[in-house]
Amino acid sequence: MVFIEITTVIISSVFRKRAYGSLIVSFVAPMVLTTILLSIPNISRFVDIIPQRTIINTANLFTAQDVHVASDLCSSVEVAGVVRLNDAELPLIIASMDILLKNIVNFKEVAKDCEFISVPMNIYERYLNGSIVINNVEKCISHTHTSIYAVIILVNESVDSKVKLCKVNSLEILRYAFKFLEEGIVEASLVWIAALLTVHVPLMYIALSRVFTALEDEIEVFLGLGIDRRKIILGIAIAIASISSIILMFLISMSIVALNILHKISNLYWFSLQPSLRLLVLPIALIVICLTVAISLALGLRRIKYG
Amino acid sequence: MARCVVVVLMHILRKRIGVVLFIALISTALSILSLFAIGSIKSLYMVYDVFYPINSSNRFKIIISSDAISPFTSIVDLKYIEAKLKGFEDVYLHPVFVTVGFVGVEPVVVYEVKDVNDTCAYPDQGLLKRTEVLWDNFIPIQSIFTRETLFLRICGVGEKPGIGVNHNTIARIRGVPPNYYSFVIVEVNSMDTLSKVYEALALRVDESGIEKLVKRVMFIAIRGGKSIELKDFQNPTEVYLSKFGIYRDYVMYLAYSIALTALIGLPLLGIGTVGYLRTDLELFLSLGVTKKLLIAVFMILLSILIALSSITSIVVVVHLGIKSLANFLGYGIPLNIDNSDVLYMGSVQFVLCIAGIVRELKNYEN
Repeated sequence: MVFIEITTVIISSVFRKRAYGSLIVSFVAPMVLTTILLSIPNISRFVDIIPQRTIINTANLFTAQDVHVASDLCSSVEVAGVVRLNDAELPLIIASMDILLKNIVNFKEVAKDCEFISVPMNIYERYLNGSIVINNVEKCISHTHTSIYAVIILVNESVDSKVKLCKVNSLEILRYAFKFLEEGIVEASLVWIAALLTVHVPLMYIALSRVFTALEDEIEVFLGLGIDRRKIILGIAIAIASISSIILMFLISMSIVALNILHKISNLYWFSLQPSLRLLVLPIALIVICLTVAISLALGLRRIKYG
Repeated sequence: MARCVVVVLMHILRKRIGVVLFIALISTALSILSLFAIGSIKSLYMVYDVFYPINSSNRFKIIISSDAISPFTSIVDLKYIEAKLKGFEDVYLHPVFVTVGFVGVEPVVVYEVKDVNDTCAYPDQGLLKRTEVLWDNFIPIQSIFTRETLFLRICGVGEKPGIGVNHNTIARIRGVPPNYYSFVIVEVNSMDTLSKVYEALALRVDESGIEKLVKRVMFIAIRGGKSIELKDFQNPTEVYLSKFGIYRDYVMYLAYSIALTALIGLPLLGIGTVGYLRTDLELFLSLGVTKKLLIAVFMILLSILIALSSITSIVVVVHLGIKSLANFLGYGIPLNIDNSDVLYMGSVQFVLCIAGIVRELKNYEN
């Protein structure tokens, strides 16, 4: 197996001639920064530390896009128009009776046989004081809900709408907000890393051409022995791929260890969140290895010629 | 000597313009990236500054806030401060009210707009687009301080990010009586009045202390009628972040170390440059041109190129209005870049590149 021989010879001479230095330099920036930027703490987990007593259960209003806040306590509602009560303008919300009754708003008393209108408590006290006329619906008016500032009409048939009325723990909303922030930071970091990686491709090319220059003697010997050119190119590519994967693993693990030590030290003096590595580091490392192999193949085809 | 430098430089520029452009391109891209990193991280220190209407007048300014972790949760009683500062001339009070509410699951800044209707809301353009159709010209704002959800009529588009409402509504969202505000900016015209104001607020600051604080923003946190903290800061955001143990220095270290790490591959650019110019350099060396002279030529070339690329990058980053990528409460924070950052990054690039060139030139024989 000439092929394996070539690879072993190349690997050992890269190490002997210390030709890996430039490779390390070209990998440091993208890999270390990827590891650091993709290990920002899970901010959403921070919410769990907040004491439970600070949390209020609230009826919250969601739109259909916010489906990830999945709750059983959601029902579709429809915004049907505007109700004018003296100087107050309130939206008229139509919601189906069965779901809303149980979950969203705690109605005190509901007559099931009629369309039911509910007006917010303090609006009722301020303007109506027992009498209201909205679009001929005269009966079954009450002042039952306080938290939602809208006039709610409950109907018997189900409502199909994009807008949802949910009763959700405030903690859930807070966690979602933090998750949103975290995703934003990770996405921004990914864009930045992609740009950095692109800029580093020419630098990797330079580093690899230095490795090829260092290996000139070996290549000449191989060619002199009459070994097929393609075998030499492939052997060198595999050797470089294995060396660069060792370098990459080294860089990633060193950054992880450094980050964790930093976290432990800083925890002694003030509060710091545990860094948590995203799995996205691996695909990025693989992309770097693929780029290295591609560049070394290209360089090999250009540089290794008979004669 | 100088003639020699010019000849070599002209040769490189005339025959090898590709290499020169390559260096310029890579260094521009890297300095844009590093400036962007610095600017994004440093802008963390400005997140709340948008909400502080501190104009650059020459008055002395004191910000009175409660002992809170953000301006959104802070509340101060304006009546209390007015009573304390009664009878002073040339003392101007600017109460400001900002807080956060939720629209759906999205946290949104709520700020105060004067002279508008109680039931009116002025959301910003982006928020307006997201909510207008669904809620039929109403916007539901859920308070995180009370259990209320307010439906407010959309009466127009706000200028600032977030939702503008009038004072009664914002006090209701925050769950406080109308005489409360988030913080009060006290502006004073003269030094004498300033020390009297300090006295009135029961703050002990000696004369030399006051002199040092001229033209900086003072920050006072009060709790239960007692002032418990007196700090001077360059900007108000620092005060709140320092309560989390995030100090300005650490943020700066982080920003600069990330930017420097991004530049660490640059010696390779120097090595590559020498590699590409190999035949030309060998020719010059054989003609009797010394290595020192070649290094001088590269220094001149690089200083011109890096100056140009720094200018290009600052133009790209600042004037194309690139915002920091991470959003805070729905608005992009502007990048915070000093001119000195550009200088630092440029000189680091220069040093790293020259290091690579010097190292590679060692392999050549005279």
